[in-house]
Amino acid sequence: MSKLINVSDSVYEQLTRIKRAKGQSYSEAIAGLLPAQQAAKKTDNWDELIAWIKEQDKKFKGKREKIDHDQILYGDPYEGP
Amino acid sequence: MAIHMKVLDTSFIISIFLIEDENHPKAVAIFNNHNNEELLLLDTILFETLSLLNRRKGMDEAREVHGKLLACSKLHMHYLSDAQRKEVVKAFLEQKGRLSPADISVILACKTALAAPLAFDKEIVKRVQV
Repeated sequence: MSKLINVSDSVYEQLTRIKRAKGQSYSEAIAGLLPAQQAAKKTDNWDELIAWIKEQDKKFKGKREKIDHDQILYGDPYEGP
Repeated sequence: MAIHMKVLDTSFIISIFLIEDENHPKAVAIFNNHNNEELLLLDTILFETLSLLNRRKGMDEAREVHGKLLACSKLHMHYLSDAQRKEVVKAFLEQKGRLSPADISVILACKTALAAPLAFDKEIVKRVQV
């Protein structure tokens, strides 16, 4: 079924950009922007996520260490001249 | 039951997925206890987390974690708007400390949403409380 809707020029422009970027139809582009549609695609997998993390834990046999994520990402801090 | 929002920081989220991290058990316990709260994941933090996972564990691990995070209904991804990015850059340039733009995005998100950070980075926690 087709229905006509009115949207502003700026909304039309944005929808066209999304449609082209994702290779979708206008309907698919709009559906992808709807929160309910996005939520429906998600599974309430909190328990699954926790179970997966705990499963990884079981495989770990080593010793835990202090990990400085800033050092890994950005290197040693500047100490001045 | 009241819904509270927490903003995830890289220092916290990375501890969940790096099992060798000394903060890992604490991070998992906290994460597990926040299953009644809305958790906000900023794009800046997702990028840092994925970069770090790639550096330490490789892209397979980064892809797996990415899929699991985005599938979790309690986690709300937030992509910063142009205005929010400009605000982050402004705060970054005005700071006297060593915070990264990602750190600043967490602080600003907490202040805007009146949320608390989930972070092991003491500087972030301190700045949110000010």
